Order: sequence, then structure tokens, then C-alpha cells
Amino acid sequence: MVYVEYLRVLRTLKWHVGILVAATLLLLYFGHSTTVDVNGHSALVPGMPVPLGALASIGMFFAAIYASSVGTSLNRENTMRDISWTKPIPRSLVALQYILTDVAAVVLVFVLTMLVVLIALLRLQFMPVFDATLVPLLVLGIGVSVMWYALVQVLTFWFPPGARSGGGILWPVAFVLLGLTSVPGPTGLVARVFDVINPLAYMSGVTFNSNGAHQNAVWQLPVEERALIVWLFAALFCAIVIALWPRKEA
Amino acid sequence: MTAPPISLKGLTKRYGSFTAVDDVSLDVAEGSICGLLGPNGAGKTTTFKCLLGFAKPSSGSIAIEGAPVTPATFESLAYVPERAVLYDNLTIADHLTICRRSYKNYDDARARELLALFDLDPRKYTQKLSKGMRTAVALTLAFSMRPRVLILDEPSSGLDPVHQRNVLDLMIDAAANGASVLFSSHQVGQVERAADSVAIMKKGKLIVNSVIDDLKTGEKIIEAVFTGSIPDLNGLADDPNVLRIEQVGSTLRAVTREESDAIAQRIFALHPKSIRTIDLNLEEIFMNAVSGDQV
Amino acid sequence: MPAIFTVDPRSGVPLYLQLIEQIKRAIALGTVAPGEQLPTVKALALELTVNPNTVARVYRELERDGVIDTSPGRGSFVRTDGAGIEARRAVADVARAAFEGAVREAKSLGLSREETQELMARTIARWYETENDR
Repeated sequence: MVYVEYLRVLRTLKWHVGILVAATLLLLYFGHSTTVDVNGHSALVPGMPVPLGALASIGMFFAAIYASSVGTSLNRENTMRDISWTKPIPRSLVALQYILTDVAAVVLVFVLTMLVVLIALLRLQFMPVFDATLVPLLVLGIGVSVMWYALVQVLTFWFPPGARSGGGILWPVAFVLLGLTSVPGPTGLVARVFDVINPLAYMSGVTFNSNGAHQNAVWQLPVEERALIVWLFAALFCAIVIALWPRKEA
Repeated sequence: MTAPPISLKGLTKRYGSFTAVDDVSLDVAEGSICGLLGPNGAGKTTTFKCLLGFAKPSSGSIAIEGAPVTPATFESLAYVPERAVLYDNLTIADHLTICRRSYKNYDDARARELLALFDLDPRKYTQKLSKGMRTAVALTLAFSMRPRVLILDEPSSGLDPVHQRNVLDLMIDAAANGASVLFSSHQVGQVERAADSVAIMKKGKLIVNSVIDDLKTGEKIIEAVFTGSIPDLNGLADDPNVLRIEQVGSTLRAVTREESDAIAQRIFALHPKSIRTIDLNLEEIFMNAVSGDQV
Repeated sequence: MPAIFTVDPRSGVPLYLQLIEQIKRAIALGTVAPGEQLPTVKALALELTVNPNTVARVYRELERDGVIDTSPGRGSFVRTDGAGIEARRAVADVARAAFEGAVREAKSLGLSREETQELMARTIARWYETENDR
């Protein structure tokens, strides 16, 4: 049954890879050195070093968008149980195969996006910096997208079979929650509680201001710990789906 | 004695307060074809769902080839649902590939033969196929894996008469090779030809479960024509062997449960002008079974 | 086997009985010769689109009636001795049943004994026209 999901993933990847390729071509054609002025200071100048890891959010966003569409794969398979549940393969294995195929594709999208980011930096004549924070930030970025995928899988598990818009719902919810965390009072408290499973909350957002770049994250934990947590949550949500999907009454 | 390849014992399935399948016991032997008849909503599809492990029975047991259904069972168990389930964005050839990778006994040459038989082009996307052609694809996939047990839910729906005959031939061929076939159909004539036993369900209950030949020899119509109007029947309708009485003009027809000479004698005592015994075909037996208030 | 058999599922008569009668009729008429091999159960089932167990039952009953011999591995063959006698007997049975039905029908339609006999004689005369018809 890997073959089925493999074909489906190939089809959906076409779009995203197509966009990335188009972006690359545009960059190569139109890109040139850039200067960005903020308040009269030159905030971004050619040759300025930019830590690649700090831009992991871009990879994460693009991969999470992909994850939203591919994360409904088991929900969609609910209408195909007459095929997938009549194979000499345990149903939990079918679910696992689907998930692994999907996750591989999500990671691929992340990697390809980061490659485009790298090309962009070079073309715009910034200097990409590969420092010690790179690997943890990349692992975190991929982890957040995969956690996003897993969250979509586990939430759409309860949707009626074939619900196509399932994955998209998570975006407004996640952003709203993130926004509410700084609201004082009980609302903010509830939002912060839900943010434990909000993948966006773990991402390091980078803001540039006159003092340079600094990191934002709701959970002020070191990158390595956040990376670990998101992967653990991803594994947990996937395990829940793998356990529950075979038992769904047809 | 080995267990029959398909065996249901006391199968009951309830959804809340609604009993979809009520204490159904049914065996299908090797090399045997059992036709499952019944009005819509009788519980046939739910029975299949329980058989395949899609739904958990409320009580009772199911055994395929003597064992409960596990993933390994599907190496030799094939299922064709009522509305063929296929991956819309894949071609027929893709579906064959899925089967080739999933089943040990998948026979690609056989699959190509069947595609040709049903006039299917493997390069076509399944989305573009009509209902009958989708059923034909599902049948091709099912028979190509050389199953020992076949469960088919209305396998000829949507097919033209030639292909419907092909489906019957496929079932007969499988049974002749020792497979066990359980299929449901609304076409009584098909069941009559291809099946050796018939099971009739009504409102979740199994009201008839018998070898077809026995059924036919065991149910008769006694038709009597009277001069003038039919006389009083003296409680003939209450006889336990009488299933139904029809009176049209001067013609009396008694549908009897068995080769009941006693009933014929009682009618003869009413002095009809003529009296004869009519054999029932399966369609009439079926209509009697589901329309009576007897269960 | 040149003979063509058909079964009518819509008839109230069980298929196996129909088929037995047809095979015996074919033997009585000579379209199936003594010693001739019958198709395998599977082949005949597929040709007629009937259940293989039905055909198997037909072959069992034909063997019991002394019409055919089945040896495992070799197949089923029409017996060279006695098959014809049994076949003719079966065929005569069919004719007898048809006669009974016809007479009963004539009676219920109100024909008198004499009228029925006259009808029968004329019909026989028409169908057995020449002395060559036995």
C-alpha cells in the first residue's frame, strides 16, 4: 500500500515543487544585490552575514502548507477501506506506511525550500552563515512541520470520510492561539495551555530591528529542547492515529 | 471434518436499538456457491461487513477457512463491494500493480485475460469509468488473486447482459476449482443458475437457508378451478403447511410448504372442476418468503 | 459432444432434473452415442452457466440409473449396454407426463371422453402419417 500513497504524494508534490522551481527561476533572473534601509540605517546590506538557521521558518511554513494537504491522507483513505482493509497487511502497518511516506515528502519539501532560500541569499548577495545553531534550527524547523502534519492527521481522524478542507482549518486556529498568548487574563492562560500542542509556538521567529536579529518563541526553551519536544509530539500524534485508525467502525 | 470455508454462527449486529443482523447462521462449503437474496435493508451488506471485519459483531462468531479473520486471511479472501471502490486518480494498470505487490497468488496473465473479457483498457483512469466498468475492474482484481473464498455484493450491477453472464461463469469456474462463493443479488434468475444453495434475509433475519433443489421440490402451488365461485375453504388457510392462499375469480391457488398431498386432498374434497400442482421457481419462492408475515 | 442442452431456471423444475431428462433424451434419440465421452463437470457447468454441483449431481444420478460410467481420471462415458434402455424409459416417462397433462387439460376444459379420444386419434394420425413412422 506504500505504492498508493507514493503515487498520491508524487502528484501533490508536483505543485509545491513547481512553485519552488518557479521561485528559483525568478530569483536567478531578477535577483540582484539588495539594500534594505530601516530608519535611515542600512539594516541589510550586500555581503551581510545571515545565519541560514534563522531562516528555517521559511522552510517550515512552506513544508507545513504541504503538510496540511497531505495530512488528510488517512481520512481520505476512509472511503477506500474496501481496498485497504482487504489486504494481507495489518491495518496499522498500512497507516504507518502512509505516514512514513507523507513525512518523507514533508521533509523533502522543507529541504527543497531551504535550498531555494540558500539560492536566494546567494543571488541577493548576502552571505549565508553555517554556524553551530544551523543543525538544531533545521531539526526544529522540520520537526515543527512534521508535528503540524501529525496534528492534521490526528484532528482529521474524526472528520467525516473524505473531508478535504480538514488540513486548512489548523492555520487560523494556530495563529489565533499564538496571538492570544500575550493577552492578559484567563484567555491568555488558556491560549498558552493550548499552545503546548501548537506547533507554531515552538518555532523560532526571527525579527530584525535596529538592534539586530533576535529570536521569538512562546516557550523560552533552548532550541535543542524545543526540537526534541516537537518531534516527540509528532511521534505521539502519529502513534495515536496508527492505533485508532484500524479500529474505526466501517 | 474440516470447517466450511465460510461459517457464520449466530451473527448479530446491533446499531443502538436497531438490529441490522439478527442471529444469522450460515455455512458455505468448498466448491459451493451460495446466493444471498433479500429486499434492500434486509441486512445483507451488514452481514458482509461483519464477515470482512469492517464491523464488529454484537454477538456470534465468524470463521473463514476455520479461523477468525486476520490480515493473513485476505491472501485467499476476495471481496467485491456493491459500489466498486477504486482510487480515482490512478489507472486500471496502477490498480493491478497494487494487487501484484500485495498478494502472493496474484496472476497477472489472468488479470490481462479478464480485462480483455470485460473490454477494459488498462491505461484508463478509473475516474472516467462508468459504474459497470468499475465493477468489472473490481471483479478483475478479485478473481486475479486466485482466491479460495469470494464474497461478492451484487457483482453484476451495472453490467450489460453479456458481462453479467461472464460474472456467473467466473463464479462457476472458481467453485469448480474448489473455491467457496457467497454472493448477494437482486437477480433471482442468476442465483437460480449459478448457486447451489440460497439464503434469504428479511429484516435482519435469515428466513430461508437451503439447497435450491430441495427448496424447489419442497414448495408447490396447488391450483384449483371451480365452476362458479370458490366455496368456503373450511379453514384451509390455517393449515400449517399452507403458506398462502390466493383467490382470483374461480381460481384458487394454495401455496404449500411441502409436497402436501393432504392439502390437495382437502381441496379435491371441495369438488373443483380441475386441479393441478405447479412447481415453483426460485423467484416465486423468494416472493412468498419475503411478502408473507411469517418469518 | 454435438448435443446442445439448455436449462430454464425460470421453470419450477429443478435444474438437475431438467438436465437429466435432456441427456437421457439425447441418448434415446441417438444424438449422444453409446461409449461417447461426456464433458467434464467443470466444462459442462461453464457451457450451461450452471452450478458445478448441479452437474455433479446429474452425473451421479445418471450413473445410479445405469446410463453413464464415471472413472476417476478418465471421465464420464455413456454406457454401451443398457444406457439406451434406461434412456428410452425416461423418454417414455416424459411422454406419459405430457399425455397426462393434455388429457387433464382437455377434461377441465369440458371435453367429454369421446371428444378427447377423437382428438387424440386425429392428432396421432397427423403426426404418424406414414407407415414408416413406428
